[in-house]
Amino acid sequence: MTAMLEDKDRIFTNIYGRHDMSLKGAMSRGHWDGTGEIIAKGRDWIINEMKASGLRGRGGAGFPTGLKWSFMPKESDGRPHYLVVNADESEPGTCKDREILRHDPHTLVEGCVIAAFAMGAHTAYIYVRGEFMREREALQRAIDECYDAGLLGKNNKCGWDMDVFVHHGAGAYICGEETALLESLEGKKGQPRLKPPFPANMGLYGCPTTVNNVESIAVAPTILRRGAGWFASFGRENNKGTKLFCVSGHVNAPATFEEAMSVPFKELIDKHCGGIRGGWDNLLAVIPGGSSVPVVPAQQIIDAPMDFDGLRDLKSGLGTAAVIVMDKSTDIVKAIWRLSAFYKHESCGQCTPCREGTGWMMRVMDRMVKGNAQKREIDMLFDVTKQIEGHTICALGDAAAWPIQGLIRHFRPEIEARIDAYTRNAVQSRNVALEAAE
Amino acid sequence: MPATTTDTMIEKARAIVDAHRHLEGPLLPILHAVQAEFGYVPRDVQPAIADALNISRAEIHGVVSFYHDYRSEPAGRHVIRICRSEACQSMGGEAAAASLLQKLGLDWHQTSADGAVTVEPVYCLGLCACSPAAMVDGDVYGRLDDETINDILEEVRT
Amino acid sequence: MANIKVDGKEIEVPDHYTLLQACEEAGAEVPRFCFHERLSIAGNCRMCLVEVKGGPPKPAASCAMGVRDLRPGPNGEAPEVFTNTPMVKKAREGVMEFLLINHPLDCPICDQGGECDLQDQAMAFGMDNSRFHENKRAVEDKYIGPLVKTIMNRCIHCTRCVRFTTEVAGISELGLIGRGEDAEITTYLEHAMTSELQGNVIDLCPVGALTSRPYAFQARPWELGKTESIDVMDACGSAIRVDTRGREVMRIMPRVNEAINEEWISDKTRFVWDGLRTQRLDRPYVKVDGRLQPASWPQAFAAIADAVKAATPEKIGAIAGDLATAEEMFALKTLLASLGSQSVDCRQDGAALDPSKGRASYIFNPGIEGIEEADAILIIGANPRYEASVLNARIRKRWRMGDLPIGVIGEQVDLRYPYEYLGAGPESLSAVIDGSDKFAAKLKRAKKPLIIIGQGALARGDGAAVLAQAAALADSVKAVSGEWNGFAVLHTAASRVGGLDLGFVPGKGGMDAKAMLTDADVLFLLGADELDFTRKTAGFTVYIGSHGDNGAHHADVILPAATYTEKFGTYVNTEGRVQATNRAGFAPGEARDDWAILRALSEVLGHKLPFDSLPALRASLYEEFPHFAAIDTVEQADGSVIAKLGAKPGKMNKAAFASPVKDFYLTNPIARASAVMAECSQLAKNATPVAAE
Repeated sequence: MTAMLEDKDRIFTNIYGRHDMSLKGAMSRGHWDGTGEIIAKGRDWIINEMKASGLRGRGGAGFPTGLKWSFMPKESDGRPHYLVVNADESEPGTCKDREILRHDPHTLVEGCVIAAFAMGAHTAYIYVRGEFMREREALQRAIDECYDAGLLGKNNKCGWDMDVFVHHGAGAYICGEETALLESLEGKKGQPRLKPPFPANMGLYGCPTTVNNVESIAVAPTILRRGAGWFASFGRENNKGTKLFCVSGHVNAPATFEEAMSVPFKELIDKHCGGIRGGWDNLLAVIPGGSSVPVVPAQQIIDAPMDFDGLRDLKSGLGTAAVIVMDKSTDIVKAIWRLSAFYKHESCGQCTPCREGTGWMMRVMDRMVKGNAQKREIDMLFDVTKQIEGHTICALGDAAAWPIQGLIRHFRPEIEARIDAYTRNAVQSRNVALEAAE
Repeated sequence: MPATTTDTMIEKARAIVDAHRHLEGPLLPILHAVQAEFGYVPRDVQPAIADALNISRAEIHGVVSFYHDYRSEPAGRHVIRICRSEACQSMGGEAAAASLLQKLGLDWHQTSADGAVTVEPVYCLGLCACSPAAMVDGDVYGRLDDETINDILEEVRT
Repeated sequence: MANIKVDGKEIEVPDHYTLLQACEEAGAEVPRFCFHERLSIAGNCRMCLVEVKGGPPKPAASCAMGVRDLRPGPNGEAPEVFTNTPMVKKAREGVMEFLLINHPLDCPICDQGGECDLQDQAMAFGMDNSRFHENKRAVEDKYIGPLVKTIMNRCIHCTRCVRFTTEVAGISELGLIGRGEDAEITTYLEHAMTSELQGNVIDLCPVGALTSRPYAFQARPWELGKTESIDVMDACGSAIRVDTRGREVMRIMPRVNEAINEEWISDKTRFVWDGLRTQRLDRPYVKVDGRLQPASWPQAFAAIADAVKAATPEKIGAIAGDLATAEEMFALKTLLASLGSQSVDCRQDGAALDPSKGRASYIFNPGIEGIEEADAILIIGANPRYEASVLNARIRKRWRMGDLPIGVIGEQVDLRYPYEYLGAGPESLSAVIDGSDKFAAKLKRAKKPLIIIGQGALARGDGAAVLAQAAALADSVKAVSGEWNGFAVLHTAASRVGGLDLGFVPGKGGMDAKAMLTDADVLFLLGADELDFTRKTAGFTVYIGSHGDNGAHHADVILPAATYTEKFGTYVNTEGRVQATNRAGFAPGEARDDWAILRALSEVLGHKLPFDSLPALRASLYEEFPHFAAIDTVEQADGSVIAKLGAKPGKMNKAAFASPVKDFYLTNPIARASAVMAECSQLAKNATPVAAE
């Protein structure tokens, strides 16, 4: 299958902050090199090159980035265009954008200029999660350097007037949803909007807007510098390129690292994370793409290629490539319950299935953790997840439903065993009580 | 609250609004600045902000209540936020949190009697590769163990 | 137009239709909670999900998706949607189950029971059992005033109430706070809502979360008799439905009339019904030795006959009040004429409106619906928010469409939309006329300028001059041209236009209301209570009316009559639209229809009126004034009279204009008898400083 990524092919060369983070340092690593020339090649060239690179959005949904950019109106009808960068990284398990923001922010700032040019925008907002305080400072520092160096602002060296603003979230996971993020940017409650109209037509302040993930934007300059063919040489068809993975949980050395797409799970873990705690036989299950994708049991994931299609075939997803590894010491039911509690906590409350369903699911899961349930309630719970999935305004409903679906699909015996144990204990204690009463 | 302090607060809030008014979508930045100034978003200043931005008080109230970062009461001088999410749980986050709470003698969302410290749960600090994680006044701490917990306690008690 | 196939049936609908509207057009029923035709789209209840062929493998919210958002098939086939597939059925059942899990099962004690959207739709689209075994959510009830009762456990978060108050009523006191399961609808600071249209949220609430506080636990909808009628609390003539049990009016609800009130009514219209029961005159009274004593009808009539015989005809007069029907005014005018008197007046407030100047000089010519066409509005001496709340909502609706300069001359009050304040009185009007005020240019630039003149500008000594000046302004900014007549007199009394139409004003040598109050020897008051009785020196006074209010206190004989819910009567609203009330219940005790009282009295007076029944009365009325026969229509008035009126502008004095409505909740005898209105009035007085902050 795919070869492992060599150092020369890494896009993020300072992900661990070991080198100079300043503009000078970034330039010495090849960033901001020929940005003006790339822009000079024109909008169509950039978009075609992005399409040819096969880059799929790195925020979770995997929508082709070049195609997304091409949705922006070619000519402005008088309304300004906006680029919005989603740095509201809040998905449990995910810690990749944070590393870009705090250690390699110039990749993102340069990407903003190029992407904004490709969509005819002169303004970019970077919406940074409220909890990311040092990250915001690092990013702001980078932006200030660029203004000082004449890379941003009016009549800059890149040949495209550009302003980049950092906006600061306030503790709401739902603001990672693109339209909720736009609402939040406008100073409102982060409640997702109805689509259509899509942001490319009616986005921020009713103007054409594209919302991209940090990583999608940050990789763009390097792709355009080294060519679509270079980027497309990694990974399988339809799953091209390199990707930041963040592996956490029961591995010997949890880490965030850049790797080629489609590398099998086992190789990925062995190479970067020193294997599974207690050896591969001790692996129970993996949540391969952040908290919202279904869990995959050990035997299915070990040889699976880590990419969009490979994980989709396992009825899970690559999501944000936040790999949460769980060994056999894990209480898997409780782990998923905690995710349910998270989604209940973060539901915006706007639409019915999510507002009411997330709380219901959490409460049933609550009882399942103890085993205080009936076995038929497992099917009912599954049915409830299906009633939420696809019926909500945004994808949070789906994200809340999938982990439970994954749990029931793969760990039903575990839930049933727990119910049996609880019932047995209940019966025994009742018997004891009866005996005592006699 | 005596009228004078409320008036001063409103006065300060007005100045903050003026400083941010030029921004597009200024409400969140203004609320952040208000919280930075007072440590929370006092209910008394909300009408002044609403007035200045020409939005309704209900709208501001809705926004403040929607985003959990905005406090309606002042927090302690130090705020410890402990990650409660999956990756941290898998690495002993539960035990670390329990130990810290026990040492402080507090429960979630509580502030110590001397007003020194508030403890809050947070869902994922994005520091999953360094689990279990916590954040103290904006600085993150990874790989919590007894030693780091003691460091944190020392810091917040000073 | 666009073609679309709904459940296999191809139809053609306008491009701007939503899928929901298209489905309805095709005859497919689509359940909904959050969607409302007159509010913005929220798309949050998810009940209206339909399946779109060729779309993503999940159902779409039909209220939020437009027909034009759908793509035609590969060969140009019409896009297809389904409302009856298993996917749709499952989705609806799912949403319904979610709505019900946290909804209390208190239907037996819920006032919405029997007219509850949730109940109905649960029957039609829900499942028959519950799978939810957890505890239900408990939500604290909120105090939002004496009119609307909240039981927030029942709330399904459709946000209709929030959207209504912010969009239509123009207040921002309701909002959604918190998030997720804990999100709640609340008022900021939990004080009473300040809108005069707040009662409409009761109708809008699809469940029993917001119900009528005065009507709480009074009746069930299926035990109520329903009578379609019109409202007389202001001069708009809003369409209402009067719900009665036995002879008691239990509540008043709006009906849809696009031309007037759309489907809103003011709180006074809705909640005045308890005033129909109290302070009622239920038998005749005659003053004996300075004290009013109960009497029989013959005794009362005899006393009147004695007084009339003793008086010279020129000294007999009649004043019609604000709630009088056209029929009774016609009967009274005919009676007075037969007694030889020309002294009749329907303008208690002394408004300088003269039917001889032409109908266009005293009606709201463009119509209430016409407000939506106006592109500049000048309001002179009126506070439409209090004088005509639903009309004010129409101005706000127009304002929300954008590009509408609004200028106000008169009191500077919160009208629920921003406006340019031009000044307090006639000088400011002169400044607009001579062009020294910048607003003049805006009016001139407008294609359909609208000039609203309130009674605050007309019911004063120089009222005729103000009216003429306003007409001159209308002429100079071309407010009257061809199809458009933007000269609009805003009335506050339901009876007024009808009275002016049938000439209930002093004839040659007759006294007007002001003169009658001091000089008449025999004075008939037909429900006239808004006079300055401290000035009254008139002689023998007969009060015909329903309530023991100001007029009755100053009467020598009281003849008990019926209210607007107790009689069939014709009213003409401020637009000149003829409308009729229907009897929903009978008047109490010995009280009778006003026209019948006058007919019986005429016989005793020896001048028997020539009609024995209401139809006969109406026949005579229609014969003399044919337009009264055309119910529900407006007879267009000849706009050319405006120019003539403006040609002779008189001199205005300097006093500021003041709205005649000092207290919105207490403008007529019925409202003054209502405990609910009294409470609202008190609250509004106390709330003023808060609102001004």
